[in-house]
Amino acid sequence: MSGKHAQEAKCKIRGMKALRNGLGALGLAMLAVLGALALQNWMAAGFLITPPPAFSTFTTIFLGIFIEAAPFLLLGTLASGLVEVFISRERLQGMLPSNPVLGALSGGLMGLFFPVCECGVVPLTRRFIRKGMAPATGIAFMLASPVLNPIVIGSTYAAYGWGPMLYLRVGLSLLIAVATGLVFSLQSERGKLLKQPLPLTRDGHSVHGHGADLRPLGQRFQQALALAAEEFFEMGRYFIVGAMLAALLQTLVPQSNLLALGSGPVLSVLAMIALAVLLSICSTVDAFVSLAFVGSFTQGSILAFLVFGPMVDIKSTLLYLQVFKPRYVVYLILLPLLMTILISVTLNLNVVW
Amino acid sequence: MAKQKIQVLILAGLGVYLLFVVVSGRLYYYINERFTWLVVAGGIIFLGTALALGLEAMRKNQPDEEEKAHSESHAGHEHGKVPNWSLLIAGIPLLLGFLITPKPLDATTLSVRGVSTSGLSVARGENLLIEAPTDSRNVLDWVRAFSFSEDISEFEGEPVDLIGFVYQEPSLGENQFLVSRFTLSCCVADAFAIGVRVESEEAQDWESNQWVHLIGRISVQENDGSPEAVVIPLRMVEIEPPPQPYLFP
Repeated sequence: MSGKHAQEAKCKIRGMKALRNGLGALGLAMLAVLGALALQNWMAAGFLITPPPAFSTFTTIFLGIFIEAAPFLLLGTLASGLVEVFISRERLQGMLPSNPVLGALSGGLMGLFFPVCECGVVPLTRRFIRKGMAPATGIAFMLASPVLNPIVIGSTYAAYGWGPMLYLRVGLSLLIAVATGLVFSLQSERGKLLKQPLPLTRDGHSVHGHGADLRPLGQRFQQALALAAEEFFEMGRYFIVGAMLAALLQTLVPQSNLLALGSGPVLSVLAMIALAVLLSICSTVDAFVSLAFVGSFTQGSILAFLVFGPMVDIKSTLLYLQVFKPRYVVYLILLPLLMTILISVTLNLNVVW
Repeated sequence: MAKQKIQVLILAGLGVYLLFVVVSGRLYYYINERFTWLVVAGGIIFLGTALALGLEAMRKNQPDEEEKAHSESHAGHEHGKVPNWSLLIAGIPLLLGFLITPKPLDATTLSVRGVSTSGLSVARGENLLIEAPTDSRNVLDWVRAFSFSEDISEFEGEPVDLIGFVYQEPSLGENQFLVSRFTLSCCVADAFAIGVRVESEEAQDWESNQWVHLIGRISVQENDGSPEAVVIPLRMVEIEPPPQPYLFP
C-alpha cells in the first residue's frame, strides 16, 4: 500500500473503532441503568411494575419455562464448545465399523459421547464425511445426536420424568436416524453427497483440537468458552422467542379452542410438526416448551414435536442446504417426516398413555 | 469487543437473576421445588462463564486482528459474530424477571386454561395414588381420590380440611364455586388446575383469587344423573397466599 492509502485506511479504522466504542459505551450505559434499576428493585422491593393480569400470567409462564431451561441451554453449549476444541476427530473415526448397519447404529449412538448442539452437528458431520466416514454412519449421527445426548436426555427427564415420553423420544429418534442412515448407505460414494468436492489432501485448518493442537490448555479452554457463549446467544434467541410464543398461547387462547386441533390423532401430529419446524428450538430445551401443549394436544403429537424438531427445522434445513446436495436434503427431510408421522399417528390411535 | 462485554454482562445478569430467584423465594412461583438445585447450579455456571469470558476479554489487546483470524478459522461453522438482536432478545428474560412484579398463576388464568374437578393430565410418567389420611388431604389428594374411585358415594360424610384459592367457575350454579390449586410436574408450562366443588349459600360473598382455609364435609349429590362430590363448608376463612402455592403430583 502506498503511504497515502495507508494513512486513509488508518483513519477509517480509527473512526470505526471510535464508533464501535461509542455504541458499546451506550449499550453498556443502558445495561448499567437496567442493572441499577434491578438493584434498587431488589432493595426497595416496591419498585416493580404491576401490569394487567394477562401480562403477569404471560410473564410467569415465560419465566417459568426460561428458569427451568436456561441451565440446560448453557450446559449444552458448554459441552458443545468443549467437544469442538478438545476432542480429536481422527482417533474417533478409526474406531467405527464399516458394515452399514453397525455403522449406522454406532453413528446414532455416538452422540451420547459427543454432546454437540443441533446446529454444530451439521458442519461436524461434513468434516467427518470429508475425512472418510461412511454416509450411513454420518447421517445417522447427524440425525440422532441432537437427541441421543446426555444433556437432552437430562432435560427431557426433567420435563417428563422416567416415562414413555422420554423412552419413546430417545428410542424413536435412534430408530429413525439409523433407518435414514441405512437408506443413505445405498449411496456409497461419499463425494456425491456433499456439495463441496472431497479434499485430495488433508484439511489445512487446524485451529481446533486435532491431535497436533499444541496451544496451552488455558487458551484452548478460553476458546471453548467463547464458542459456547456465541452458541448460547445464537440458540438462545430461538428458544426465548419459542418460549414467549408458548406462554402467549397459554395466556390468550382458551384450551377449548385448541382442542379441535389438538385432539385429532392426525391433525395434532401435523400441527405439532409444523410448530417444531417453525420454532426451531434447540433440542436441549424444546422439552420445556412442549410442556405448554400437554394439556391440549395428543401425546403422539408432542412426541412428534420432540422427535422431528431436532432433526429438521428451518435452521437445520438451511444448514443442510449448505452442506449437502439438494436431492439429498429432500431425503433428509422426507424420510424422518414420513416415519415420524406414521409412528405418532399409530401411537395416537392405538395406545392410551 | 464491546459486543463481548455486553455478552458478559448479560450472562452475569442471568446468573444473578437465577440465584436471586432462589434466594428471594420467588422460585416457588415458577418451577417444581425439586429443581431448586438445578437453578442454583445454573446460576453459578452462568456467573462462572461470564467471569471466564470477562477475563478473556480483558486480556485481549488487539481485538481486530485476533477476531479476524478467529472468524476465518470458523469457516466450517455457522458461528459468526453474534448479531445485535440476539443480545437484545437475550435481555428480555432479565427485563421481565427484574422489573415485573412476580406473581404465581392464579384464578385469572383459569378462564383460559380450564380447571378440572375429576381428572389429572399426566405430563410425567408417574401418576400414583398416595393414600393420605383423610383429614390431611389437600385438593390434589381429593381430586385423585375422586378420579380413582369407582363409586364416589363412599366419600359421603368424610371430613375435609384443605386450602386453596376460590374460583367462581361460570358453569357452576349460584351456590357453588371451586376451591382450587395448580399442580406442577416440572414448571408452570405444564401447570394443571384442579379443584373441589364447594356448595354454600354465601357462595357469592367470595371472590375469585381469595385464598381460603376450608373445613367441611363431603356430600355426594346427583348432577345430571351422575354422582358428584361437593364440600359443604363448616368453616371457611380467608388466609394469606402461601409462599408455595403449587402442588406436585
